[in-house]
Amino acid sequence: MNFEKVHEKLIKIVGEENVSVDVMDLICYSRDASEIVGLPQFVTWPLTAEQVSEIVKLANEEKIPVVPRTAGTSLSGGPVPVNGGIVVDLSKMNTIIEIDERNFTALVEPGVVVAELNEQLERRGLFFPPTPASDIAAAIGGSIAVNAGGIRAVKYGVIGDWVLGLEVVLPTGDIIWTRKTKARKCVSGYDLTKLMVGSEGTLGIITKALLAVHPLPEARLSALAYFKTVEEVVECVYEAIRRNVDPSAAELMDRYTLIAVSKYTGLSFPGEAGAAVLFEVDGMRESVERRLIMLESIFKKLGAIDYQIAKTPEENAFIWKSRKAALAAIASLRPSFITCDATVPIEKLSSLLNGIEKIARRYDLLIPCFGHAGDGNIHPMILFDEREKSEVKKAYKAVEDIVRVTLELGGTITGEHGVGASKIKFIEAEHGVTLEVMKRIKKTLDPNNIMNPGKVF
Amino acid sequence: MKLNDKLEEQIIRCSRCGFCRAVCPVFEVKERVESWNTRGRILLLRALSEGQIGVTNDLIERIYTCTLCGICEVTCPSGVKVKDIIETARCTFAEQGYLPQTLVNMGPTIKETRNIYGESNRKRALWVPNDIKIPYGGDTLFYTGCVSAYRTTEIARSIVKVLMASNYEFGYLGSDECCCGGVALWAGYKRAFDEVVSLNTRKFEEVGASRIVTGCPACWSVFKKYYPLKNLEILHYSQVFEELIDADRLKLQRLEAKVTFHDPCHFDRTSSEIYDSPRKVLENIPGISLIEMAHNKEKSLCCGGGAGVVWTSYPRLSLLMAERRLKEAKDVGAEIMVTSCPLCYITFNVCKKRKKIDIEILDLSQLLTRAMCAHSTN
Repeated sequence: MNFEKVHEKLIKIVGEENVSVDVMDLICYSRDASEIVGLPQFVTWPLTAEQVSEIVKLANEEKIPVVPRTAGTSLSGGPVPVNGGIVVDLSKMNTIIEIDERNFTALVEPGVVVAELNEQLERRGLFFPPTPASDIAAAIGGSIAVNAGGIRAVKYGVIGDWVLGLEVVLPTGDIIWTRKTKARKCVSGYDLTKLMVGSEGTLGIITKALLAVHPLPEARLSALAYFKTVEEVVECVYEAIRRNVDPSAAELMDRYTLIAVSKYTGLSFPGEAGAAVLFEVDGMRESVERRLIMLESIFKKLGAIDYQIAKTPEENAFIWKSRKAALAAIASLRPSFITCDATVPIEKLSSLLNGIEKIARRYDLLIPCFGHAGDGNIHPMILFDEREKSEVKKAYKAVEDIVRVTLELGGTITGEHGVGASKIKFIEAEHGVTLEVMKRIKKTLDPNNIMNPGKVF
Repeated sequence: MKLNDKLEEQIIRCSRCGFCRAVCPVFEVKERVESWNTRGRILLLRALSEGQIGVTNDLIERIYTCTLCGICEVTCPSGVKVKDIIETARCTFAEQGYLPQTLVNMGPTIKETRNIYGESNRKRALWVPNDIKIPYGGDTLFYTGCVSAYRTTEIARSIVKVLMASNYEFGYLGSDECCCGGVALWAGYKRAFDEVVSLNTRKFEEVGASRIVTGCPACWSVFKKYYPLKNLEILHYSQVFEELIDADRLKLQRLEAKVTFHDPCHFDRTSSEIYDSPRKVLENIPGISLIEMAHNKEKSLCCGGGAGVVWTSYPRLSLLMAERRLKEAKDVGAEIMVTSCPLCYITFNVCKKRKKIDIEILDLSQLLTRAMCAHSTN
């Protein structure tokens, strides 16, 4: 690669103010929220799909990697340029182009932040249901690239379920729409939208997204219950789903999380509680009230130690206080942490949590667990001090063991964070020969392997 | 560059989640380029401590353009003490002579002249009108602060006028008053700051004060956070105004206006009472309709002044932030933007003039004196 020549051409494509080779920018775009590190040679901030296309064409000519990125909140190293190359930061492409209230769609650029989209939608009585926990910072582009989930996935599914079509710059530079119609149903041809969703920037760069949106529910209230054991919590989640409570969130917090939250916020919880579960139900007011009564009867039947049911938005906010403080509370315990993304069929959830507890004991580490029990997705937080080499080693061993247990239980190495670079070594164990098909698709679309190389497989 | 252990411990606490992207006012006006937000700044300090980069003017700019507004700190899920990081980093930088040209000598200047402008300390009490006599010292001290003592003297006069009209008993230190030291610390002059702290602490003890009423939120926060003032109550004047309103000691007349309140960053975004005081005062002026901006109280947006440090060194950047905030005020239909910080007052007034934004900027005390005038005319 002729560095000067590429630099000059990038300046021609995006303008001098939208390309940088300054070491400060290279450093700032060398990381995401994972442990993965990789310095790019160039950082670019394109403003249009055409500019993105020109960058990709140049990368093809010069055979240099192109690494798309939006907010960089990823927990898997997906937007980290592990093989160097050109970072394409789409943060400046952040326009909400259209909200179509009659057809329940939104057309947005990839740099639009999820919470900003929801702010605009809520003014019109609508919302975009799949909200990753990082929604205040995470952008649509990256969220689609990893097919993010979040707390409401138990009812509303993941981001991919709400993407109707995508404008994508393919690795050859062609700009295509995976499907153009605003119609909810469309079965003509292969479903290229689903192929692009979750492809982590390895098959193309998303430059526009046509999203489905939903009317805001009239009411949204929550209930929190404490149980002696994790098994009881899992049973409670099962019963709630089985009896059609239709929760829009079913969040679990294990004992270590509760202790951390209590220390951090001063909130108290019953001493003998082994775990807690937090449900949210949304919909018409009467329906929400009735479903909360159903939840109460489930709590009683399963012998909850204590429970709280919100009747007002204020009580609701109070109930969520502990769950919202969970990450900060846990993070305050040690200097560093790794967030895992273990996901199993919900029946296996207690086995997973018990397995994680054994791993924590094996390595003498603290691993509080919380997460989306309703879809079997738990985020064990492995706590350590990155300045202590022996602890770092143990922490990464624990990651491997958690992945192994998850796969043994018929789960997946990632439920919503993506494979990125951090889980690449585990993907073969999950997919085996199927991986060959994925590789063939990749080769067909990206013959020069320039699109975010070193990710997924 | 070697950074101290305390700083390094805070730096590694950043999990790079990027939540600061959602709130950093500098990042927003710098077109969302990563090196201008907190995560970027922390990554750069880390690279500096690991020897990956050296100190350059661009790095100095990144470290000194943080407005220390603290909104990232209350948003950070890992509880990273961002303000401590930036303050400590600046002290390390300044010790080795790495700081913006405009701030060179800020520490010694404050130490020698006892104010941030390097003016004679004899001029410090010139703001007091001839027809007013404020006693020296006493149990309750009104602490003017450098900005209102030397520049926004109209604010100091308004505060005093309100206090006197309600027969509130207080004294002051006249030309003996010394800068709180905040700007020295935020410019990176730790030693000068420490000296000012002990000087002021001694003075407050000497005059036997038990209560200090500040005219500036920055001084308020510095006294509360850094001063060893165990037996001294520190209040911002808006809290005293609230007391006076509660005790029905202020007679206010009707004043028709749509008003929004800009919460100064230095109220630290942690205790909610401090945010209620100015609102209670405003709500007690008959005819005032108080409209909240999208970002208010703990989530308020910085005016861009950055405790004077950003305003002095990177005024164009400050004005971009101020413009965004004024637009927010205009968007909710406010005719007057009221604040209770002389620094915000200056930043907004300059921005309003330069960008020709049609909105009036007033300090809370000025609005109150206006309501009191309405009373006396009637």
